Parts: sequence; structure tokens; C-alpha cells
Amino acid sequence: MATASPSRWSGQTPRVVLAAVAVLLAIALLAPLWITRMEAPQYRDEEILEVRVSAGRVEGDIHEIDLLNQYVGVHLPLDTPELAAAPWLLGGLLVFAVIGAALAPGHQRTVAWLLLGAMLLVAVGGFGLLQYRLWEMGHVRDKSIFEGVPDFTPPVLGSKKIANFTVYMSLGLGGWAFGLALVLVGATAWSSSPRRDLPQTSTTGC
Amino acid sequence: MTSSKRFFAVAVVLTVAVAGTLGACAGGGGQGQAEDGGGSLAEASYVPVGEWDKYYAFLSGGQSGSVFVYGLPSGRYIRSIPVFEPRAGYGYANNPGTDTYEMLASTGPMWGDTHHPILSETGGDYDGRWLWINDKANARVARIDLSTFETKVIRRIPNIEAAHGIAVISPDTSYVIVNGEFRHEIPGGVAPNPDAYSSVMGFLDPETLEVQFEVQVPGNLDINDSSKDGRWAFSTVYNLEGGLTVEQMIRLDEDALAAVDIPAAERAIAAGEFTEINGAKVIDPTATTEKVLYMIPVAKNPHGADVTPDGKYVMGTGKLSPTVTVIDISLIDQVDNPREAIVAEPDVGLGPLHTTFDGRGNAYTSLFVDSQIVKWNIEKAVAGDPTYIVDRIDVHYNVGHTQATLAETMHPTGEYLVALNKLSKDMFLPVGPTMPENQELIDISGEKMRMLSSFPSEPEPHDAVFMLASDLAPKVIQVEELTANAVAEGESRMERTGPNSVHVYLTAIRSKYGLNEFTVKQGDEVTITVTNIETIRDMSHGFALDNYGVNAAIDPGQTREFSFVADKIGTYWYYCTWFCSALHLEMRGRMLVEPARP
Repeated sequence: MATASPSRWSGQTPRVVLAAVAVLLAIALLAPLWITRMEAPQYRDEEILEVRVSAGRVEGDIHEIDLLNQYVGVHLPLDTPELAAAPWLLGGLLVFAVIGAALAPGHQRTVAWLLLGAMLLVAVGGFGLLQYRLWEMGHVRDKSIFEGVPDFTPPVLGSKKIANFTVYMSLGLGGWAFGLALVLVGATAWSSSPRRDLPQTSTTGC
Repeated sequence: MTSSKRFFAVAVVLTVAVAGTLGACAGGGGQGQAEDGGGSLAEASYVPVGEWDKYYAFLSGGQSGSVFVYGLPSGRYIRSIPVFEPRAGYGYANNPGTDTYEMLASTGPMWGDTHHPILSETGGDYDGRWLWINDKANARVARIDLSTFETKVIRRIPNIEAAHGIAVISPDTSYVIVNGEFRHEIPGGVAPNPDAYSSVMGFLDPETLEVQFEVQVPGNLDINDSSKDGRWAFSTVYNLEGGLTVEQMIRLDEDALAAVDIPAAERAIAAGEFTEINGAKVIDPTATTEKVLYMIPVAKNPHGADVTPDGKYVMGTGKLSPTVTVIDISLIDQVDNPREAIVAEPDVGLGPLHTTFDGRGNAYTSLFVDSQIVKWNIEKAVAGDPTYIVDRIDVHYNVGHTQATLAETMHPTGEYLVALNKLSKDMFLPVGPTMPENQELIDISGEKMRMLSSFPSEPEPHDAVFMLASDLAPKVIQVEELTANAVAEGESRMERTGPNSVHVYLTAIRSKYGLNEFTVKQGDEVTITVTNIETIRDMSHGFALDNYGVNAAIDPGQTREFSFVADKIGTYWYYCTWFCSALHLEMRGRMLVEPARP
């Protein structure tokens, strides 16, 4: 077979990697994708406020943040369409990865490329929508309540000083799992493609 | 010595000399500097901002009727726990129709005189569950739950006038004992009759404070303690003369330390050897088949009764005699003449009142008349070695109780001692003729005692107990679990419960009550149930109703209920009295009282 298809990864490797991708996507489906921590002098240590965004749900100190948001007029976007769609999108990717792993050896290349494209779309779309929601929170709010907090746009990753809080944004376990899955899918797609630097032994008369 | 070494030595000597001179100038005779190492005095009691003290100190509030909580070694006043007095700020017993008001009012006057805080023990060490305190003025005992620092139970003890000494029976808090100090007619309710005067030691259930039994003891029962094995309850006794005036009470040169054999008393109760008086089973120790009460002679009008941490000795502290009577507990029921149980009577100074311990074999006795704490070695005194006095330190002024850290447990830490002085005179800025009381913190970790700091208080701590913060702080609840009667979010409402009564259910959370207004008729009895539905610590809310004298304090998770009659027509705002948020001032609503017949 090696002579018939001189790809970089051969045999069972692409299947095993896609199976790993499926596991990582399952983690992404269940664990928090993105986490925000809010720290202020009266919210330190174990009292740091935390928001965990997972596929289809937002958890953490929502209640407390809502109470504080009374002063800055911010509304947490908890029921957006993208949040509702996330479990289906991630679930679809997971099913796709499982199918790829289940196919007979040598048939992973197409699946890997398709999966890579879909995951990139989800990642870019997700980041974009998240950044939009963060902008929306800082701009589309009830500004009649409390003066002295200018409009703000927290970055998707990094930190930002907002009122008396320093807000830290980072990937959660699910986010890291998704990122790793993306790398593995990319590697699978690239590695199961034919090597162009080697002579194509399966062709003749070239 | 090389020249460089010589230079170094000279430099050190010069530095020390200069520092010593500066210290003497700056500290007014070196008060701010260390006298025998261990850092400066200021450092020894300094706790940086935001850090916690090592110890909780619970001081009785005396005629303030409460318990004061301080941190040691900083001496920071943290809070008080109202017990036998209303306290509007905490919404404690200040409004009729609240459970705390009913608890206090149903047991006696709205005032008490607290003397001795005591802590629950398991295995001879503090377990951080409960603290009890007596009300000398009204024969009451209260139990405070240390998970919330709230008074949970108050009970009036029958057959007692002046509930004075109070102690836990070690090692596992089998009883709380309370002394009736003033002799009076038992049972009461009869014409004055000095021939019927008596006093009892009450044995209470630690949780419910119900009397299990009482033992009659001659004389005036003063301060009490227990042996570490739970067998003996001890109390000093004065006025064996049975006198009614000061002159009559100090006639005899000798009074006693009473020792109640608890298992023997329990057997007497089981055998029916008691008289039921005012609902209490009272043992007359002269009428039992088994010996229940032992009286060991102690010099003139003794005061403190204190058991050593190892459980070996009980000490009666002399008061009108300059001595401490050391009694070997193991000999009490072994000797024919009770005097033979006394193993030492060291002379310690004038007016000895209370003795405490460091767990290293030393006793510390407060000297009221001398205004001193005297440190003395117990075994040396027992052995007759005349060098038993280790150290003396002046306190300011007229010290009453003194207590060393964890001295009432089987494992004292021997770190600090607090002198609870009766007079402060010139120690603080003058604040009128009523001066604060003065507590002084003394380092007892070394051979010599070191005066570290003093801190004032409201009147008037008698006694104190200390707990390691590491043993108690993790057990303290700061957000309570919602109770069955809690009002849930979105369920605020008013219900008419009768032609002349309404029940208002409210939630309180930053920065609004569940109802912005409710309307009642003049003459309605209004019952209000408020639940603080906050879920973070320190977010207490209040509920004050202006011009109606109502104020409740509701801590996170708590539900409070109170009632009043809406007898005035008009608009009455209710508002939050615990500053909670940036919209705290806006956190309010209106009670609209309409005429009964429009």
C-alpha cells in the first residue's frame, strides 16, 4: 500500500488521530470553551467572579454579575442564536470526526480536509461573534444609570480594566481541546495527502 | 583579631549604643523597644491590614448584657453579640413580634449582666460549636451558636438568684453548670424568711439549657470549674457564715471549695433522692445515701476556682487572703479530713482573684489590690520551695479576671494573657466621668512577662476566653442556607390573612425589595417576612420602617419576620439600613396606610 499511496502518514495513523480529534471535540462539547474572570478589591481570591461559556450554556457568577450590572447597565447576552447553535455545530463536527475514524484506512484524507474547513469556519465565526457580543455589552447598554464608565470593548483573549474590575478573558478546557483538535485535523489532512517531493511510483510513463 | 574584624566589632558596639540611646529617647524610657528580644513591643501585637488575628477573644459585656469579640494580639474590636439587651443595629430583640424579642422578653427583663463566657469542648479542647454566657441579674443562661455568632437559646434557671459562676464540664461538655450566688428562699414565692435561704448549683443540658438537676450547697456559690475527667464540679463558696451584711459575711477566717461528685449526684437522681422544686430535681446532699458534696476549707472568702490544664489540681484563689489554695483532685475522696487534700497554700500577693495557666507548669494569679499579675511555679509551691514566684508585672488598674490563651483547655498555648482591669483611670483620653474598661495584653511566652498593649472596651468585661482563629474561622457561616419560610425571588406579595391582618412577603437584594409598595388599612396587624436572597458574604440588608420604630437586619440567606400594627394613616417609606450598594439610598418602598372606612 505504501507504494500505492506514498502519503506522509500511513496505515492506521490517520484513523487514530481522527479518533483523538473526536475525543477532543467531545471535551469541547462539554467543557467551558471560554472563561472570563473579573477581579476587584472586594472580589478577590475565592470571590473572583467567573463566567464560563460552554456549548449552549453560560455558567458561573451570573447572578452576582447581573446585580453589579445594575450600575453600568450591561446586559449579559445569555440566549443568543450562536449559543443555541453551538452544541449542534460541535456535535456535527464530532460525528464527522467519528465517521472519519470509522472509515477504512486510506479514506481519511477527504474527511480531514472537510473537517478542517468546517472547524476553521466554526472557530473564526465563534471568535467573531464573541467579539461582537463583547462589543455589544460595552456599547449597547442602559447608560442612564451610572455615569463615569465609558463604553468598552473587552478583547476575546487578554485583559481589560472595566470600572473597578480587571477582567481576564481566556480559553477554557473546551477551547483548548478544540484548538488542539484543529491542529490535529490540519496535520491529518496535510499528512494523508500524497507527497509531491517523492516520485509517484504508482504512475508510469511520466 | 584582624584589623577588619576589630573594625566590625567596634561598629557593632557603636550601632547598638546609638540605637539604644535613640530607643530610650523615642520610646519614653524604652517602652517601644524590645526588652528581652522577640522584636519590638509594637511588632509583637501588630497585625498588618487585611491579615487576621491569631486568636478570637470573647469578652463578657458585663452590665452591657452582651459579648464582645476582639482579635488578638491586635486588640481590634470586631463586633459584639447582643444577648440580654436589644440591639437595633443587628435588629436583635428591638421590635416586638420578632423571634429574638420573644426569646429575650419571655425569659425576663430586656437587660442582663453577663460575666463569664465559656466555650464548648470535645476531648478537653475547644470544638468551636457554642459559647455560653450567664446573666447574673436575672438568673439566665444563654447559648450562642459560633457558626453564626447569634444567640440561639436563653433560659431562666429555676431556684437561682444571681446566676454567677458558669462552667463547662470537661472534657466533652456533658453539662453546663451555673451557680446561684445569692441565698434566697427556695422555693420562692413566700414571705421573706432568712431561715429558708439556700443556693444551688444547676446542671444544665448544654444544648437546651434545661435543668437536669440541682445540688444545694451551703454558703454563697461563687466561681466554678470542672475536673478534666468530667467527675467533679468545683465552686468556691464564701459566706459560710450565712451573713446578710458585709460585716457578717467576712467574720470567719475560712470558707470553702465545694466539690460535687457528678456520677454520685446522677446516681442519687436515679435513686429518686431529690425533691422537685419549681420543675427542677434538687438534691439535698445531707440526705443522700452516697456522698455527693465535699467541702474543702479555703482561706477567707475565696473567689476564683480554676483547674490546672493537666487536671491535677483545683485552686481556690484567696481574695481576702493573700494565698491560693492548691487542692490535689485525686485526694478529695481519699482523705478523711478534707484539709488533707490541700497540698500547697502559696502566698502570692494582695487580693488574689483568679488564676490561669500556660501549660508549662506556671500559674498566673491576678492581684486586685496590688494591681499585678503574679507568675508562680505550681510544682515548686507544692514542693515547698520558697522560690516559687517567677515574675510580677504591673497592670492598670485593679485587675479582676485574667485569662491566658486556651488556659481552660487541656492544651494551653501559653502565648498571651489578658488582664481584665476594673479601672482605667488615666490610661485613655478622658471621655467624661464614665471611663472605658482597660484590657491589657501580656506576652507570657518567655520567662519574664512583657506588657504588649492595652485596649479599651464598653462596660464591663468580667472574664474572657480565647480560641485559635484556625479552629473557629473555617466553621463560621457567612451566607446562610435558605430556611423553609424563605421568600423566593419573584414571590414577593401581600396576602390578607384576616379582616384586620395582612402578611407581606418580601425579598431583599441589591438594590430593591420585592415590592415597591403595599397598601394596608389603618388598624391592620402587619406581619412582614423578609428574605435576603443575596448569595455573597457581607451583603446584609436592613428593613427600617420610618416612624414605626421597626428595624430588622437580614444577613445573606436569612429570613426575618416581625409584626406591628399600622395605626397611623399615610405614606411610610421602608428602606435599607445596611449600606449595600451604589443604589443603597434608592433601595426602599412605601407602605400606604389607608383609612379603615373610606
